[in-house]
Formats: sequence, structure tokens, C-alpha cells
Amino acid sequence: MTTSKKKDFENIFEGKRSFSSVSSVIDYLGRQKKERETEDFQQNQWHHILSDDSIPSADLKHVLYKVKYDILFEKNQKQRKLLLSISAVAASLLLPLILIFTLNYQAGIHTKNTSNLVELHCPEGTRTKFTLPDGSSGWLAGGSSIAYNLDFNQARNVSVNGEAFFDVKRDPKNEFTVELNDITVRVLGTQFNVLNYNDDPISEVVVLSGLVQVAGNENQFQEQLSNNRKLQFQSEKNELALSHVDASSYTAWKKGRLIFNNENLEEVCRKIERYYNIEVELKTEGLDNQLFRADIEIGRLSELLNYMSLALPIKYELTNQNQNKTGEGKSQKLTISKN
Amino acid sequence: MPNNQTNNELELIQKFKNGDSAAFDALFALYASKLFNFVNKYLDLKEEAEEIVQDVFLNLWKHKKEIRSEKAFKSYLYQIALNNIRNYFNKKLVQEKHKQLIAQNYLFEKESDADELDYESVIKEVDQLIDQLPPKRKEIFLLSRKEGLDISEIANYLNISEATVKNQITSAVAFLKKAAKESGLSNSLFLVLFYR
Repeated sequence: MTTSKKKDFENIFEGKRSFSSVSSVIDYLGRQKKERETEDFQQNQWHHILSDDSIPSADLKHVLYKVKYDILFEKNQKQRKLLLSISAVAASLLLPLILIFTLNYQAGIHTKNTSNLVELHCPEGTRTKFTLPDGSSGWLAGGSSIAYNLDFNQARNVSVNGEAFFDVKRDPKNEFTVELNDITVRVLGTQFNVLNYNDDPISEVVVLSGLVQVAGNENQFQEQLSNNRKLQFQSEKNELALSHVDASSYTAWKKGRLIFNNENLEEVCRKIERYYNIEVELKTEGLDNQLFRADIEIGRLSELLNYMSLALPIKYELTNQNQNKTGEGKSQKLTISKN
Repeated sequence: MPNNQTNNELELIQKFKNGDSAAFDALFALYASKLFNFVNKYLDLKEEAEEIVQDVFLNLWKHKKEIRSEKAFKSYLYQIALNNIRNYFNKKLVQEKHKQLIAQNYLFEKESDADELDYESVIKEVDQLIDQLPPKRKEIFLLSRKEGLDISEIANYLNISEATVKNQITSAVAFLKKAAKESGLSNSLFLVLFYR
């Protein structure tokens, strides 16, 4: 460890975040370098903190709460798993997903016409993190699924139904494509959110960083998007809309937050349906132009509804409804009407 | 550390290994704050540091059966945290390497400045400079300097001619060079580094 690098690490620990020191530390840690002396030095810093009782303690109750939520969620997942005949849990996932391998063997012929499809599905009302074989990662929203071939590293191709956030590992030589119902997104390495539910004619792409290329699956359009840009496509009307947005509010769901940034009621209800797994009926007369802003933790529907009824001239009713025999259909129904 | 405290911790770790959630809470209370402190020294970003603490303890829970001793517990905690810090900086490096290069050129002659100026504010300034480029030029410049594509790859990707790509990059560099001059910072290394 050179004396200058040692100085850089020391500076950072003293809170002196100069350009030269931070650059040097980012370079060392970011390139996953490992030098004996530097590793020892870091470890000493850790032991120093461990034994230093003068350091003020941080309030981390909410972090413990999140950990417990994740642990609990994992347990529920395990119980669910038993209901499936063919399933396996991927060890690399932060939260386990249901993994389904479909092996299509043609009689007599082995490798040639075999497709090995890996499908990940996230149950409604939850969210989950996933990792792909190339090191790319992302989040899957409730009720959504992604699928890819086992030979993923040869062709980085994922198909999505629902909503997902991708953090793609950069590889200029190997394009990464995300196929949705109505559109296809091509990238080199970037972060973006996609959305396209099977039962919904709207598809949407929001870019957090980098550049992506989006094309209609029937060649209706082709567009380039950079960060904080949103593309929305309505396949039925063949309508394309591009806008500037605050991308972070579109990816807040992966941190368990729901953010509405001046969105109209229709859009708000669409999100409520998705994130709370309930059916929403909107009696829109006279409410078309109501815009809504909120930033709340997903999971507290009553809080959201309370807040909505304060901010907007609406009333709401939450009723239980019967599920059919196969368990399909939503168990709760929310009706929103003008107050 | 007094002996009784160590014994107490050993007991907690034993209980934790058997899935005792009260013991987990107690271990969280003992270590989370220290860990947050360590991680945040590197990141200087509360929200991200909390996310790493969350990930570390979730992983501890998942792998509780593999923890053999009190010492192993601590080193396990440390190793997961360090891996998370490395991954965080790996992303930061990809996001910011090209900005660091641009900044280094600004700061070349005033060597002391690099030690005085705050990292995040330097990066922010460079961001603002790059943002002043016209959208298409910015896109091409970033594909070249950030994504590391060569001219033919960019031309291919954007479906434009190589000459256009070259022109746009030249203009972008000229703009940044001019901005550097106007801000009174040195740019003697600018050309050398930008025309690799």
C-alpha cells in the first residue's frame, strides 16, 4: 500500500472527501482490487469502530423492520413453494423466486431442438430482487414475471410480463434486449424500468441512466431514450408519447415506496390495483382532471386512501368479494366516486 | 471487552443460530449502528448505507447455520459489508469514470486543488458541463467516453455515418475545452487525453 493511498483511505475516514482521495478509493474498491496491506488497513478501521464506544449510535429501527419483513416474506414464499409441482429456489436471489424450468425434449433428438427456459414469477402484492447469469440484476413487481433461456450469456434476451426494473451490466459487444408484449427495449448497459401487463394495452419505459432503444414489436416506431425520459405506448390506439420525468419516482416501488407525481386518478387507480392486488372501480364523472401527489410506503392502503380522500373530492368504499373456485379474481374491491 | 460480555454474545449467537428472533434483534442492536457507521464512512450517503446494512443482516439470517463462533460472526458481518461496498463502488466507477477524467484535466496544473475540492461537487460541475451539450452530441459523447464504444460501433448503433460521429465528438471536446478555459482552469492535458 503506497503512502498516498493510505492517506486517501485515512482522509475518507476522517470525512475529508477531496476529489483526489475519493477518486483513489473508488478506483481501488470499484475495480475489486485486493492488496494485502490495504485489506489489513480497512480491517483495522473496522476494528477501530467496533471498539470505539464514543461513536453515536444511529437510529436504524426502520432498517430492522425491513429485514424482518423480508425474512417473513421469504417464509411465506417457502410455504407457497410446496403447492407447486416443479419448482426450485434460486440461491442468488435476495428474495427467493419461483423458478420453473421447461424442458422440451423432442423424441430421439437431444440438444438440437431443446429450449431451456427459466421463468421467474413474483406473487401479487409483493416485490422481489433477481440476478441474471451475466451479473445484471433488477427488481420484479408484484404479479409480474420474466423469462430467459439457459444459454443467456450467448444472447442476453429477457421477456417480461408486467413491471420490472433492470440494472444491466455493461457489455458493448453483447446487446441486452427486453421483450414485452407490444415493445422491445435494446440496451448496452444502463438502468431502466419497463412495464407492460398482458391485460393492459399500455406499455411504458423509463430510463434512470444511460441510453436505451425502444421499438414497437410491429415496427410502429423506434426511439432512443436517455435518462429521465419516459416513453408510453398504447398499442390499441397506436399512440406514442414521450416526456421528461423524474425517473426515481417510477422506480420507487423497488424500495417499497409508491410515488405519485401529479398523476391523474385513472393512473393512480391503475397503480393501486397493481401494488395492492385489489380491483378498483373508478366512477370518473367530474374527476378526470384531478391530479394527485403522494409519497408513501407500499403496504398501507388505508393510509393512502385516507390521504387521497383528504386531498381530493372523493369518497371510497372497500368491499370484500367472493373469489371463484380457482382462486382467481381479486378478494377486495375498491370503489372511488365523487364526494 | 469484559469476559461476561463475550459470554453473553456467544449465547446470543447460539440462540440466533437456532432461529431465535429476539437474539437476532439483540445482535442487530449491538452491531447495526457500528456497521452503518463503517459503511457510511465510505459511501457518505445515508440511504444507500442503510440499504447495505439491511442486506448484510438479511444475509446473516439466511446463513445463520453456517456461523461457527463469535469471531466468525464478526468476520462474516464484515465480509458481506465489504462485498456490498465494493459492488457499490463498482457501479459508481462505471457511472463516473469519464467525469473523473474530465475533472482531472481541469485540475491538472493546480495539483493542490484536487486535494482541496470536494469530490461530489467536482463531479456535479462536470455533469452540468456535459448537460450543456446538445442532446444528440451529448449522447454520442457519452457512448464514446462512458460506454467505451469506438466510432464504428456508435455509427452502427445509432445508424449514422462515422464522419458524423467523429464530428460530434470533436465538437463536444471543443466545447468542454472552451468551458475549461472560461472557468480559468488549466487544460494543457485536455487534448492529449481526449484524442487517445
